[in-house]
Amino acid sequence: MTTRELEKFLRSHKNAPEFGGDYSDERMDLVWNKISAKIGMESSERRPVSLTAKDYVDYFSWQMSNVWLKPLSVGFSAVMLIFGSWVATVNASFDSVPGDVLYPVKLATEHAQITLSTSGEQRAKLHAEFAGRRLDELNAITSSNADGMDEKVKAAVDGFKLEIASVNDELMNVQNSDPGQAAALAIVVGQKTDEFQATIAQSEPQVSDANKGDVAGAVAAAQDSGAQALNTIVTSNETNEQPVTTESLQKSFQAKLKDLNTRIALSIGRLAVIDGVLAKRTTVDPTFADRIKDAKSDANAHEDEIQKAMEAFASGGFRKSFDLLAEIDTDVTHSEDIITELEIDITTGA
Amino acid sequence: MQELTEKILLFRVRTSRDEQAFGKLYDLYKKELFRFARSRLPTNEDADDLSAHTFFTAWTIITTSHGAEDEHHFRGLIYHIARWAITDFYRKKKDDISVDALTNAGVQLADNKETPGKIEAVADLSMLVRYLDRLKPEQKEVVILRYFQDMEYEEIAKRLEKNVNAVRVMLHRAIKELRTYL
Repeated sequence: MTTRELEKFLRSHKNAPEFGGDYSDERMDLVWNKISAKIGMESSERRPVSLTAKDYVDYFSWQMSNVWLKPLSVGFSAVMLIFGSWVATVNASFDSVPGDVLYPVKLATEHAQITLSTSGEQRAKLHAEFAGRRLDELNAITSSNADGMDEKVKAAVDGFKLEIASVNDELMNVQNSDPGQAAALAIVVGQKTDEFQATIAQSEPQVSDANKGDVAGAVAAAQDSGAQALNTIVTSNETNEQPVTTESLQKSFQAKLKDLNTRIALSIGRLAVIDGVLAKRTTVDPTFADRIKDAKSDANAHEDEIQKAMEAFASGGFRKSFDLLAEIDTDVTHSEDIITELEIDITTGA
Repeated sequence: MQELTEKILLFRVRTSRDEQAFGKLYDLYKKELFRFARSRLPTNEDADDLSAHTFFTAWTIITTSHGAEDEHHFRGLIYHIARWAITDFYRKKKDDISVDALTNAGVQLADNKETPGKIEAVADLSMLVRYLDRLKPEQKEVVILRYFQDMEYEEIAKRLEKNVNAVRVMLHRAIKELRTYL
């Protein structure tokens, strides 16, 4: 059989019942009766359907809102979801502390901010802000009594030290590249370091003995940073005296002086209490007398130095005045250490 | 235009459960679906049942889904349903009904003392159905659509979601194979 013959043979059977040749409208009306009954039509009658302009308008309106705009809205929603979720996650991570699931997100966001910043001044300010966050974390941890507090405290303090070190580096870079900006930045850093020391002082009583050293290191780091900031301000003032730096130096000097006077008065008061306690005892360790004498010496013998520092400052010798205050600070700190040891020994009966 | 009309009818069915619009769609496709079903099922009654099942299922899908892709292609939807129903039919029967049915039909004709010409025709048909069953399902479908439903290659390609060349090749191979039997 040729192809043509085969095709003819096939076509000759097109109306065979096996290929649907028994089709009739009457048969399909019966089928429709079944369908209409199943879909719940009251009557199986099929009436002519005419489409009106409203049908076309309704159809295209629906098409517009559901078919054409829908993908756009889905895409837009996806974008919003991605970025919205990220923003929500980042916002949620702001309250996290070391050990929390979202803490890495917080650090990553900070890292991104540092990376995206365009100047050393911006970076220094950001590092200072992040150092403040580490101390906020320290406060949150010490006030929560959460499990693993020691590790968390250490992590927060280490983070703080890193940020402070970065602040110092950036400050030094700015000082070398743009001394004019360095002074303004140093003033900000100086204010921040004062805040840091106050914040650490709040957390210090709550930390365990294991973390005392870490916190002391944080205090030292903040003090060093403050000293560097002050040095920058002084240097800037020496090279190019500006009202803003002079004013800042005045504030710093007054604050340090006030702090020293307060600490000296407190040390003298603590020594008076020690004298009173020992006077009531029949037997006193002979070494106490020498230690008390050293402490009194360190605490009291600063009137002259303080006077010299004030005179130096008044005459514009800012560096000299701050150096003198730093020497006094060292002596007062030494005095405080001796007094603390004495108080412990007297209390414990050592 | 036919396509747009069909889409609007579908739209009315979906949004308003418009039974008359669905009836219009039924009128548009009832004949080709019946022939499609009948060429794959043993009896007219089976084809009737399958048609009823297919349109009712399509109604259910259209009126209960919200913007499903199939709603925009009514023909695609009903053929999809019909194919599944046919597969299900044979899965339940597990019987080569088409050959048996034709054999029975031949016996009935012989019993009815029909003319020799008619008996010969039944024999030819029986043979044809048997040989068509040997083809691959898609080849068989192309043959049915082309020679029994007089469809153009473009229509067949659209129906089978293939390109025209693929349909031509498929038909060529089917004819070649049938020639080896006939």
